[in-house]
Amino acid sequence: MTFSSYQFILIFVPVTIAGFWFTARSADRRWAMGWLILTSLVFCACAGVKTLAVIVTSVAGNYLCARLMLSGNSKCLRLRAAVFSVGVCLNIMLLVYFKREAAILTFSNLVLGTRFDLARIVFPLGVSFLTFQMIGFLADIYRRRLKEVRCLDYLLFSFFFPRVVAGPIVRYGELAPQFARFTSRTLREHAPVAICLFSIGLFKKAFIADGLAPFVTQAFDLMPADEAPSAITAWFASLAFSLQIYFDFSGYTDMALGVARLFGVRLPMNFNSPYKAKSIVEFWSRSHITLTLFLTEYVFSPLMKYLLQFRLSKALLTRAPNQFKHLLMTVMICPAIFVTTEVSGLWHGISWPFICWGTLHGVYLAVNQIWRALRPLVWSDRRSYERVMNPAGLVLTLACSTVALVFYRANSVGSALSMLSGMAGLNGFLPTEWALLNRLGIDTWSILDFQSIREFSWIIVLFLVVTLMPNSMEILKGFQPALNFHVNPVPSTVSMARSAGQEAITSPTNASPDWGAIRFIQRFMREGIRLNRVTASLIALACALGILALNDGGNFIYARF
Amino acid sequence: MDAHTKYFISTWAVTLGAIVALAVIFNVVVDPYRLLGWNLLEPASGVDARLFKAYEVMHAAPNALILGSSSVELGIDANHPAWPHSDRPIYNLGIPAATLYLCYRYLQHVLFSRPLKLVVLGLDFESFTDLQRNDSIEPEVESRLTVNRDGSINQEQGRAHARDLLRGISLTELIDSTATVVDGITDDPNFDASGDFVFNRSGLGELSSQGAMRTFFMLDVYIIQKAHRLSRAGVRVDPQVLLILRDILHLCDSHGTQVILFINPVHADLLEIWDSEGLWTAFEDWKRQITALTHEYSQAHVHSRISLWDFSGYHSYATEGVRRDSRLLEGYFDPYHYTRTVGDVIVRQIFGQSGPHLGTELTPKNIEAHLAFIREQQQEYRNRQPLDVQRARLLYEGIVSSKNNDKARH
Repeated sequence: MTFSSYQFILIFVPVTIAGFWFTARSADRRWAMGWLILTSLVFCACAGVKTLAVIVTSVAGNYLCARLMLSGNSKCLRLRAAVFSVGVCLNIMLLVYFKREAAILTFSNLVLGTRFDLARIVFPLGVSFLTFQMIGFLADIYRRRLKEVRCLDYLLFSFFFPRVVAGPIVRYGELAPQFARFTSRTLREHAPVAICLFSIGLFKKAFIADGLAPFVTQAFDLMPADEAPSAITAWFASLAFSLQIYFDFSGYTDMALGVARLFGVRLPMNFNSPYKAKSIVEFWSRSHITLTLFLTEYVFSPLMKYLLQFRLSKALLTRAPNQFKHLLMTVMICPAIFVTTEVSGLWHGISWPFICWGTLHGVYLAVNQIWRALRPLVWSDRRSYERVMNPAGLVLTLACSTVALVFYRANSVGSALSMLSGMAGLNGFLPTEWALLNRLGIDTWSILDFQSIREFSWIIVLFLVVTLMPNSMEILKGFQPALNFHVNPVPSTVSMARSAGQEAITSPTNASPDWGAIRFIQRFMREGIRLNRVTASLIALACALGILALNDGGNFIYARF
Repeated sequence: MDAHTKYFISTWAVTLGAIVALAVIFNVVVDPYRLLGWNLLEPASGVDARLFKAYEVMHAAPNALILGSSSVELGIDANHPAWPHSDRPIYNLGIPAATLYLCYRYLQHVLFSRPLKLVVLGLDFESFTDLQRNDSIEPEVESRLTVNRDGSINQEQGRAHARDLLRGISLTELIDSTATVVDGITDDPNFDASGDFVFNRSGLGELSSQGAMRTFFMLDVYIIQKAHRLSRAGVRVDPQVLLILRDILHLCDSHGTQVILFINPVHADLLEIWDSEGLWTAFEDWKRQITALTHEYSQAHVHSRISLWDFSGYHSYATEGVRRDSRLLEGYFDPYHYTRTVGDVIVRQIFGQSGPHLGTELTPKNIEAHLAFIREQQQEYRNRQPLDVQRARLLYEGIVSSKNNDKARH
């Protein structure tokens, strides 16, 4: 059962809401928490007994570790460290086991003569997210950020169904205090914002992302192995996948935030228009935010500190001329960047394509960081630099991320390289048939039919939407849609639109007759939407289109991690 | 709940309910898949034939079935006057990209519910090769049929029917409903009540405006790629498909149904490409094998009534030249799909009516002479229309050399 299924929308959510409404009327909030834990367990059980067993085992094991660390005996630092290490190792082993279950069972069948049925391997839903969440939880206790863990809070924190499928990765300290605020008014206070978030997410997932899936599948899965795609085919497929994963994951995130918000719980912001990023560093801070924060805190930062505390590093930094110190330090931390992106790749899947994806992002980030350190030395005029690099950086970042996503989507490194060779133009710009048409004296463009033009236009429109339009968080900025959501300085494209609007208002020569429309756009950019009847109707239309498109869709891309 | 929140939620709920309800009502009224059986409008050309024909064939209650791929669906007219009166009504169960196994399963589906007097089955060479999976179809399609492969009642059918009805709240059905209504108004191609795909005036006009060269080119490229894969895989007739053909004959025999098999006519472009790719011998062997199979079956089952026709020669329609200024050929939409003109000749010939003859009834006695005759026709065509042959060869060489380059790169 996924968020984009009839069972979830028509049965599970209404039943859960009804139960919550009933239990939250009680003064004792434990009833409401108990109800949500129960429904969350049912949600996990719908994904299979295996998923439920894995999640329950992991939750129980981590609770035991947490109790040991929090108990009086754990004042002994060594014991505390040992319990923490064992807990982290067990979590990682669990993740590695399921990521490589197929390989392990094949080996067992071959060497030990066992007869495991490999066709029946099922990857437990959301185990990667849960594992990292649990590691973060243990680390918070180990670092004494958490001094107390309540059993019921912990259970709801672990099982809370809105985040089970694909995150976001949350901290105990972020969720538990919110559970204390369950009241009989919770539902009615938060329902409008929750409805908006869920409807927008459903529209993104079912209508847009699932609509793009056939083009992507055609190019990545159904193309014969010996066929090399032309540049136009390869770019079209890769860009379509960039958009598919964008709308799939942001759709999921909005739906998760929306469902959680029904119960008054704000989940952390996880997705913030990564295709508006003007550099890869910014891209990472906008895409899968909770994973990036986790990796930064638990992988990158410790490694960086470790690398910089070497005597050689310190000596080099001390003796280097001032203007090169930043550059030198950046070069020194490059190994930490590579390890972090590789961990991210391996977290997605222990396979060569994901390792390549991680490596590529490692290279991007290292180059980007070095350039940031080098730029003041070679291009000191910041204003002229930004004038050039703001638009160029956006295109470059998008292109780099699209290239890396080819490894993410391809079934093997070979097919990814074939696609990349197509993108590089090694197989010609146009499909072979088009070139042959010219030889036969037929106009090449005449074979473009309405459907091809429509698909191409759709891709263009979607790119304009993801790079120029405000995202769901910005649209709902007036209602604090997520934890850690800060109203960003308005993106350059938006501020350009705004300044153009202001100019039109202030300059009599550019006076536009449609003042109301400009004022509306300005207010929309500044404040986001207002919860009025027009908004309700538009949100209902998005939700209806999402519901009608449900039949055509599949599971979320991130649900397999 | 404050008034503001109340208004927002009630507006949202009412609008959502109204949009979904309108979509469902529209889908139910139009019924683009004919799930409910009313034929207010004819399904649009884009509607999935696998889906709606499974239901419509039951509502049509035919005495005879036309089975095969899209060639049959487009080319054979179920309402042609040459069909024997005793066999009417006739339903065209031609389905795009149908394998022989799919034809067999749909035949089982119909025969379980009602007896048939006649089955006419169009055969394609490519569907007998082992390049694709020939012994299975999509589970969703299987679940819709009345019987399982082993002849037992399909317990899943009720659930599948409910699932198809649930499509009423889907965007796909909404799009198909809209297309059905629009095509009905604009006279675009659609399916008539006997399952025939009907090219109406505007449909033919659109095809004609694209030009025959373009349409042939697109399909030629596809044929070359497929033939190249077949050739590289070491083309052979899949014994499993021959068994399925035998099962079809057996099923019809057990229900007292007459069977007419015919090899679909194809354009000379396609024959030239097959020959260039070295598939000609396999093509002839295939004809020999199905001739032997039908003959053996007839001998072993004296009550069975089976005939086999071959229309895949270099006849006058198949050799019609494709020129840069050609709008629409008389006999073919593209190298695979023949027009009703050719289809009508086929129907007239297999029912012994007067008129031009394009094919021959195959028997073990005349098969070799018939194959030799086609080879002679082929030679004549090459001498008579070198430009057409050159066009097909040029395309073939272009595609194959680009394939070889790709392979070298791999």
